Amino acid sequence: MRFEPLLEVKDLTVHFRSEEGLVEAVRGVSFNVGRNEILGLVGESGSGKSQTLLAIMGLIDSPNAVLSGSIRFEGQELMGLPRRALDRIRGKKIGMIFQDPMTSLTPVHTIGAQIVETLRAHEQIGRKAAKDRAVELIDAVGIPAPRSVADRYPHQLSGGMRQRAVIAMAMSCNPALLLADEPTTALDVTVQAQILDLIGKLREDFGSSVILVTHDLGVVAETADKVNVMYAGRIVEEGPKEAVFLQPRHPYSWGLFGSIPPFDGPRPARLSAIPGAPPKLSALPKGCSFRPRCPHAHDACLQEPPLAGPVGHRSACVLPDAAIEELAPRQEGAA
Amino acid sequence: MTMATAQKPLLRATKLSKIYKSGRSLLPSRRQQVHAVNEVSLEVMPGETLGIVGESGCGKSSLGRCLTRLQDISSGRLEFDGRDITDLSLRQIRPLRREMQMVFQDPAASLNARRRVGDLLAEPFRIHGIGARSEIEDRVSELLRRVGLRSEHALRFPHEFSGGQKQRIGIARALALHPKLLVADEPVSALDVSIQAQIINLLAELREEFGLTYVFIAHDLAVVRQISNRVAVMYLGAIVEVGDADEVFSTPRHPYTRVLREAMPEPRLHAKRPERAQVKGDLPSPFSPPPGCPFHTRCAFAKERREVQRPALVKAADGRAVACHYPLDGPHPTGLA
Repeated sequence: MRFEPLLEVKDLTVHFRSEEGLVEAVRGVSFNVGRNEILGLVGESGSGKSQTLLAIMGLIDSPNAVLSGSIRFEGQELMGLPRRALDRIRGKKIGMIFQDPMTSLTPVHTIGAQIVETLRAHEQIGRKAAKDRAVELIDAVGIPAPRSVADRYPHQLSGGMRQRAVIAMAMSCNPALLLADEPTTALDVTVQAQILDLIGKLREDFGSSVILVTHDLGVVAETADKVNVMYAGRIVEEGPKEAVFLQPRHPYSWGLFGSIPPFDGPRPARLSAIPGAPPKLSALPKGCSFRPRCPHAHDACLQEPPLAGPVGHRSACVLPDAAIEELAPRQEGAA
Repeated sequence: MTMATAQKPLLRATKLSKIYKSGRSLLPSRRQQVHAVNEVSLEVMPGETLGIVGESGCGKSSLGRCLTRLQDISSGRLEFDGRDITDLSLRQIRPLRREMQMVFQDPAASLNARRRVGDLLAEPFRIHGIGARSEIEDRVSELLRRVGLRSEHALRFPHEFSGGQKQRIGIARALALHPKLLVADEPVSALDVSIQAQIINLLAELREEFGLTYVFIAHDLAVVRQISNRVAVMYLGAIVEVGDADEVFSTPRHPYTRVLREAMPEPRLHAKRPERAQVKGDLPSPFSPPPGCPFHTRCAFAKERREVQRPALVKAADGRAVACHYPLDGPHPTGLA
């Protein structure tokens, strides 16, 4: 028996009309998120990872944006859903966390009041019960002295505590899906480690699925089950985390892994950086958009390659499997 | 790295402190003070790269600005190339700017948006009265090529460049007058990883080619390790550990170094990931740092002594220095957790 995925994104395209022409931010992205699953969307700036997330949330409201494709959540099509219907889902069944916690918090109300507001907007719950539930949530995200923190304003908390408060708010209605856009990028590493542990714990405690958008491969390695690598608006590689990290198939993924200096062991004299820079989204090269930076590019790359490969681990590259096997950089100490 | 014993440090800081006063209150007694840099002593040998790591608010940027005298020093002593430059006036410091330069995180902030890149790169020559106009033009082209850009880029404006290219321009400008010392403050942290690697490679090449000495400040341990010979770890304004770049992170001796290392997410799945020791709570307010060891409020191994006495940075026979009453011996000390 097959379970329906919690979220099914099909052929999602996000274009923006601009003075420079059409900006192709997301170009035909498809993926699923299963229940209780953490999906990492990785890529560099301009890869389309954040726009993909915003599209799922229905938060792209620029008059110059052109969206197409399908986003089905629990079987319901979200694309084109009127705002009021969307509002019943967002915040209740889909929670959101952004890089800057102040995107989600208002400075003029206490933390507790803001969580109470979210709860009462979506659920039939009394003021007193909502307040108690808010304190419980603040406690659940590991904030010490939850009762007193509930009465504090955002500016009275540290960055890490604010992000925890936002997570508490996002989790308030027990969402089936949590969308997190660079949730730890603005935090120090010691605090980041705490927040990542917390996101992992949320899945256990609340049974939520998570889409984690990040530029940090380390963050994905520590939290995700599945990984989508994005480049210039497309998914160039997707698969289970172990497959993508231990046997990456796309030359862009090779370049990304080679760009990160190791923490231990011998230091390479040079990092195998990727030459050049990502293309402008308003002037994409013909065919594979990684072609101008790819050391293995050849004539066949003038055609846009489809996502293909072994079951569950696919990449958008025309290199045959044998060549991938041969060219993939050997990872030191790989098992 | 082997260093002749007779060599003198290019840069030496002795008990250097930087204190900021908050100007909020008219009553001097109510003004709060922050020891952004608290009695830091360090030496940088010619040709060496000293990395400085720490989380936000640890004072690493303030230290960098003090080391290049972009900021006044509150107390302590700073020597550059054997000369005491602690109290030099702005006028006295200016000729020294040829020899010590800085590169910043946001290159755009240090590049005048209304001037062409060629102009921006020619400026150091003009300020220091070096070279005739035609000669300057040649040197600007040469600089651009050296950092991986093209000479025709001189005619463009900063906004026409990507983040990585802007940082290349920032580096070109810092290197224009062949300084001895380059202090780089988070030079790659705003860049995407693939571009980050390009800039790290470039800095390593330039160091080789021009015999440069670097102080490289960043929060990313792997980046710092990649480019540094030695690394200093800072916490709340103080250096808590210094040592060889490979050894400091593989066998940390200060509990904070270990916490920092273990908190870094590891992108290499096959790498043996150290079990993460949870660090308690947040960074204390720098306005009221804890007494004694600054890390004792969050330290898993803190004992009474830490709260009373501030541990000094003590150098061991192997060249490693650590400011801890109960230093760790390796990455996984037994019986302590």
